[in-house]
Amino acid sequence: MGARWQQFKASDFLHYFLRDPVAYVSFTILMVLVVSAFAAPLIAPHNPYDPSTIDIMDAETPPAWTDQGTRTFVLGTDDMGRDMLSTMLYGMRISIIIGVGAVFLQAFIGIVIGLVSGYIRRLDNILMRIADVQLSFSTYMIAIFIGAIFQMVFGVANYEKIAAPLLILIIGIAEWPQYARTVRASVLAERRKEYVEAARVIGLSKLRIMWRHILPNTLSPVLVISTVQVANAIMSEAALSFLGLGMPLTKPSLGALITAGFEYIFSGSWWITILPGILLVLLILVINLLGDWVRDYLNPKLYKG
Amino acid sequence: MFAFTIKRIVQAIVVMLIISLIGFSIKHNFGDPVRELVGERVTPDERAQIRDRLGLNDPFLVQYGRFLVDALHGDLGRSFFFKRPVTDIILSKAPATLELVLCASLIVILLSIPMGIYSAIYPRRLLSRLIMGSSIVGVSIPVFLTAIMLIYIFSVELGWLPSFGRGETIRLFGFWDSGLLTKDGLLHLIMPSIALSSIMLPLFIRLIRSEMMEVLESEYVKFAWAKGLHPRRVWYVHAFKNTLLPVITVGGVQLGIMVAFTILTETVFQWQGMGSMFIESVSRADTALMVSYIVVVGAIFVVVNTVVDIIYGLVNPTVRVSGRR
Repeated sequence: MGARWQQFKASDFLHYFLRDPVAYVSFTILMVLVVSAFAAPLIAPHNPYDPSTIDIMDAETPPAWTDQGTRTFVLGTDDMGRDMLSTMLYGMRISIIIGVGAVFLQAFIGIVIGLVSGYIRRLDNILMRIADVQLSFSTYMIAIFIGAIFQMVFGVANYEKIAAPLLILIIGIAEWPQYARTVRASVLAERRKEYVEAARVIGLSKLRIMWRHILPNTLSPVLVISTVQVANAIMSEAALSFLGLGMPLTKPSLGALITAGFEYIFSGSWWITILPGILLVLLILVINLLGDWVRDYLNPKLYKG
Repeated sequence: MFAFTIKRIVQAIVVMLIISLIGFSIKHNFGDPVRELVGERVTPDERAQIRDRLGLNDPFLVQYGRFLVDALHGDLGRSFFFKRPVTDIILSKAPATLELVLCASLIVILLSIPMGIYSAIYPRRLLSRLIMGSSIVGVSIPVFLTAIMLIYIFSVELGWLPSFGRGETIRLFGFWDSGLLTKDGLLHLIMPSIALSSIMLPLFIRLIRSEMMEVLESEYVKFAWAKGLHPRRVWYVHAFKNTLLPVITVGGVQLGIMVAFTILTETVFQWQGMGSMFIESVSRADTALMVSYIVVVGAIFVVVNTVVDIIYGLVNPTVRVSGRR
């Protein structure tokens, strides 16, 4: 363990990371956000999921620094009288869980399809056509359509009950082609190399060659796009929630909170919308900045633009 | 080239068939055409008769075939909420969405080209860094949040611009309700088009910049410099012309993303276009309308993508051989 740490401390990665203020500042902010989101039950001043602690008379209290603000609710309360700070922390936890979960799902689907399509040539054409068509439709469009269809299939009430896993499923299905294309491209490069040839000569099965030999060598680009994909997934979730196809108001994600506050912006209660909005933008921004940095560090030629 | 074009068209038809099949199976399983036609207040007997007369007891594939034939004749069913054929409703909502997309694309084109070129020519200047920095911030702001912030600043706080609806419209050619010709309509257009363009603008700036920087490194541009041409001629005539091709291709594909974002923008601004109609139809469980939106938008996508691909194939012969970008 100690040796590993020494190795890490001497690595290029850490050196470049500490040299770039954008990288370490956004990493620090991201860590603070993630830790406070997952420690929400411990650090949040109120529990927004417990109806007995919520008083509707507290509704729309402005943040503490304004004239009518109180010390109890530092960032004010929303339209139901929930403490904004606590609700935002819990909401950010939901947003992050859905974002990361969706990326795991799309990475899984995408890696399997990318491997199959790169290694088994007969299936390549049809699988990549599907990916192309889906990409040309834009992932948002697909996610909104699938969300709408699911809501029709399950009915609004049932949809809200299982919203979180459904959102993971929707965003996972909508965005797998990114991974499939990336993995396929590196599989095509890898499959000509000698070690794959050698494995084939030994007589290993196709499945084993794909999983144990080729897959580990295709993972670096997968890691690169994963960072940005998490930001995209969080953004898709917020968009779906905004359209009423996402998390219910009893368990709001950041996107659902923004929607809930939108009506109240006209009566001057800006904090219900703007504060979760700022938090969402900050979260997505630091992930994007980190993603850019990782991409430039690992593989400057992988992407352009 | 001929084979390539045929291949692309066949593929487009296959995609359209799949979309219509998905649409039809949603309609088949969750929609109720009898309710769409007569409402709830009909006896079960009459209901069964109507079902029989409409052929709803036929096999799935027969009904799907009928759906396809009807769709080709422009008949996608009736909306249960509006009590009108859905094609009429979509046609009446389309101008609003198209005008919004048009204005947003104008903003994107007019701003992204100069900004992209500038930051490619002078990558180290402060202004370029500002442009690139704000473009990554721009990518990170969801479009509905941009819209909400615009409303908060310009409608609620300053009271300069109207926050919802299309304002006064003028009817052109008997069917096109245009907001482009009245002052009120234009005022209503400002914020929605800025919000809609806010998501495309950073993407295009980055795309134009990276393509342009690549072209500026190429041999023929070096040759142009060596010939002693005026810098402006090198930049705008030699280099910029060749960055346009990839930009146009990507631009065609981005149209889809733009349509997806009209759903969000229209919902925020209560813009009476196709996007907000779609979301309303989902919340009303108006299956026929929802399915036809998916089919119509799917058709728009497929046509645009096919045309862009074919044009690209004409301009750039290498894609014809591999059949893929």
